[in-house]
Amino acid sequence: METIWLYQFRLIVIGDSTVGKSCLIRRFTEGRFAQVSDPTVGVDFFSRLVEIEPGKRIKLQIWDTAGQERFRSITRAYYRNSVGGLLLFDITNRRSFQNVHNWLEEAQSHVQPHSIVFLLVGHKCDLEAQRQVTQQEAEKLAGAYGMRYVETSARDAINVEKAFVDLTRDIFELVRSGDIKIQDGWEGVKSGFVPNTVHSSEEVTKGGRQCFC
Amino acid sequence: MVFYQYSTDISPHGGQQTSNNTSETNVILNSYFDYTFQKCDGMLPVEFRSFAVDPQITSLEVLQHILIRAFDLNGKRNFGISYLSRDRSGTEMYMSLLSDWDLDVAFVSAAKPYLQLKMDIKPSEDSPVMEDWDIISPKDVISSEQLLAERTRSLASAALPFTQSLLSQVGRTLSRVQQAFSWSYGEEIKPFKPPLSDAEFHSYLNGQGQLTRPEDLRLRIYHGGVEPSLRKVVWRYLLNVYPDGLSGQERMDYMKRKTREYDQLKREWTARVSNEDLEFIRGNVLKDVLRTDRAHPYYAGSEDSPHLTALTDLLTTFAITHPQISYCQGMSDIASPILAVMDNEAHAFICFCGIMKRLEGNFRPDGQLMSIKFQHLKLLLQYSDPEFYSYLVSRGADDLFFCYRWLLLELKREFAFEDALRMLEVTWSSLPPDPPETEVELLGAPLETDDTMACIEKNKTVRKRHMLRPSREEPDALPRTVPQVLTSSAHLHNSTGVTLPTTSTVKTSVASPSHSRSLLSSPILSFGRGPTLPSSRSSSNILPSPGNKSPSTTVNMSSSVKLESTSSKPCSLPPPQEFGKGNPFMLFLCLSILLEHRDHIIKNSLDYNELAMHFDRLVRRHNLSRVLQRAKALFADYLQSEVWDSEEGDEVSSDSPTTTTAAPLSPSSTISARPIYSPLASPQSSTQNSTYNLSTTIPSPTAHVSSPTF
Repeated sequence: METIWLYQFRLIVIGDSTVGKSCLIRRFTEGRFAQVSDPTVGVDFFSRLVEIEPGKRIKLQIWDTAGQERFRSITRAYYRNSVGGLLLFDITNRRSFQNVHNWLEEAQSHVQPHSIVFLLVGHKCDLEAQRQVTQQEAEKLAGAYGMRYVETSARDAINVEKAFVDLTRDIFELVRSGDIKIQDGWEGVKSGFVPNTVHSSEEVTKGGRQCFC
Repeated sequence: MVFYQYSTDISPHGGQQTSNNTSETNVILNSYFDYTFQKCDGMLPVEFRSFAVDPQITSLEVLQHILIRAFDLNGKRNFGISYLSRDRSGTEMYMSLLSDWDLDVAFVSAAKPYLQLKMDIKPSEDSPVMEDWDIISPKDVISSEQLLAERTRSLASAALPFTQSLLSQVGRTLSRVQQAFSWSYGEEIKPFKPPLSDAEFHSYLNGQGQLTRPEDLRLRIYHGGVEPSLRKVVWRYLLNVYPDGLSGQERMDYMKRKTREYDQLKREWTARVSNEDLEFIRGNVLKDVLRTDRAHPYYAGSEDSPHLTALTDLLTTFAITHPQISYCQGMSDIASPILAVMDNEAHAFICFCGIMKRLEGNFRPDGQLMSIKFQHLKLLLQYSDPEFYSYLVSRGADDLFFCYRWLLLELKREFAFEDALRMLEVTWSSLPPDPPETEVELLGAPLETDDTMACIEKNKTVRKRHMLRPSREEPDALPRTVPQVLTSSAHLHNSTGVTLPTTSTVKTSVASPSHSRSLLSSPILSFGRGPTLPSSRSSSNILPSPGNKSPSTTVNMSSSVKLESTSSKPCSLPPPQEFGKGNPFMLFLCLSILLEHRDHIIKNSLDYNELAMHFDRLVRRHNLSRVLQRAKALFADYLQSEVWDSEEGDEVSSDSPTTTTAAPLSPSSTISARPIYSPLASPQSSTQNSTYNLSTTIPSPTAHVSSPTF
């Protein structure tokens, strides 16, 4: 059966190991919280449809990368074909917050000539008592890089939907405005099966792209 | 306990959202199929529920989760699902839904316009569905134990679904056997052997308890595995823990001594690293240990479990004593089965050091060894199934990166725990024995620093001894026994220039009629020799040629591989001592998994992400016997056809259409008889014993040294 979606976006999820990348994605794609999930080695793959407006569905292909530095040689290969990214840190782990800058640099140096729309995610916000990173400083950092900031919890299902949907909407607007174009040989955005002529792909073939890294 | 029977109806309805009970089941997938549940609670009226999911992105696991949520089945996870199907004659019948495969079939072959599912609560804990569940949390283990207690109180009510479950399993076994018959492997496939028993194992030892026939033992295990109770003993051989020739008493003393050595290393943590570093390493290790194989009883339960502590200490000690490698995610997967089998932290550590000699390159940050393994797998797939390979190219998936976990962990996570144990021991036994010269080294090389080049050189020497068989005999001594032949091949890189005898006189023509018959049904091709490659490559690729006194040239593996992979259709594969960088059989296991699913992937036109997801869903679910059987056949085919590169190989093949293929080889000669290693490979030397034929052939370990990862 043909899945009906307007566009397909590829998102990459990065951040230090054990900040909760896989759990966040599983909560989003499978609607459950796994107390125990295998350490990700390399890259795992997920998918889900989101409806950003009534009748307008976007298919998200989500790449869950291993956080440990040892796996950079493989995870690097996935930046290039991503249009969006969730950059996670753990609000109870200061070191993971301090590494945000490194992750952005890592992404920037491997995404060329394309760019990635990033969302900064402070994860595990259910663990308020153990918080080591304030919302204010995270917002400040996000602002400095032109990113949105959201705090999430996979365990309590806080803002999980919002994080993905907001990012998807942002990308959708950039595609609609022509700032992000569908290109041959680039898998970041693909035009999907359009049931009604809600949008033609013509709308996305004009304009140039900016760097949102 | 009440026997529940649920029915689920799934009907397509044109992408229209269904709100019916979706909130209740908390399904957040978008909806293209409408599920309706029917619940029969004993004699109570039927209860319907419905919601919708997208079949393209709904795995069985997700479906099961949805059902649990829908019917509040927490604590009763062990249920079976079957779907209403219609056979050719139009008869409706329920078919077991045990895998994502079945789910795909169910969507296609549903009897009704919607898919009707039936659920049975089953008492059996080890049903396939239960395995599929793994464990989401340690709590699940507890709840299934509660289920056990519940079950004893109502055996009668449980009997019916249990029978159904049995029947379904028998049915699956039958069809498996039929499938096996339909594969025209020819007589190369030996019937499955039972696992090695304790009594049989003793036949490989002499009066003093020395292992006299290490190669035979490996061949035996390659064909049938090891009985679980015997693993504790036999794995130490397979993991090259014992030096050659130890008597029973000596082995015990050896293990005692190594245990004391380990205990000492463990006491010295803070002497090697700062407290801060120790805390960091241990923290990283612990985070992974707490999520490694927690479904298995050995690691289930409380986080204070001594088994979890043992695994943490083992990995921490390894990281501290091997600063060049330290700890890397995935190592817990390698160590976990070893500890569960050994049930002794020190023994497990010793074995872990044994296996990491071979695998540490996988975990090096430069990723070079992994990239060579990827190139080899790619080459093999391109060679074996050009059509599927082209498909992957068309989808941009020919990098095969979705196989990363397979190669990194040698498929450990792709099979259910018990299956993984069998897969691992079979794989290890496909490699020739590589015992330590004197003892397994528990201490790795120190960290490389800029100011210690001499130190680096020393480390390399140490590691070389690890990787390759030690040289004990004169370098140019003629090989007399199998281990010595292997030793000689391992010497290739050595500056003494010793090489093995040339292969030309016995080279088999793989293009000969005896081989044109494909041993395997389409799409698996036989490994016939293709067109000749440019000579530049063959000159860059040095094959072991024993007896030749020509100076040995170090092979730059990565460059020769690159050359191979750039050709559109490879006409030959690397020789076994290079193929897979120390584990050629692993590549064939990966290949068989790919081939098992290639039809599904092509038929459904899966893109990169979809096919990667497809394989991600199959974590711990692959069918071991199918995969093993196919892998063994493909591996045997490769070894027989000798498609690997050799100098002069092509001209020889046209001259001498000899057929070592038909000649059964004795266990001992299967190694020495490899034309590639020794001239003893002539057919007359291979007729002493027909227990094993060429399909059992074992390649040598990697004989190549120039890779920087070693």
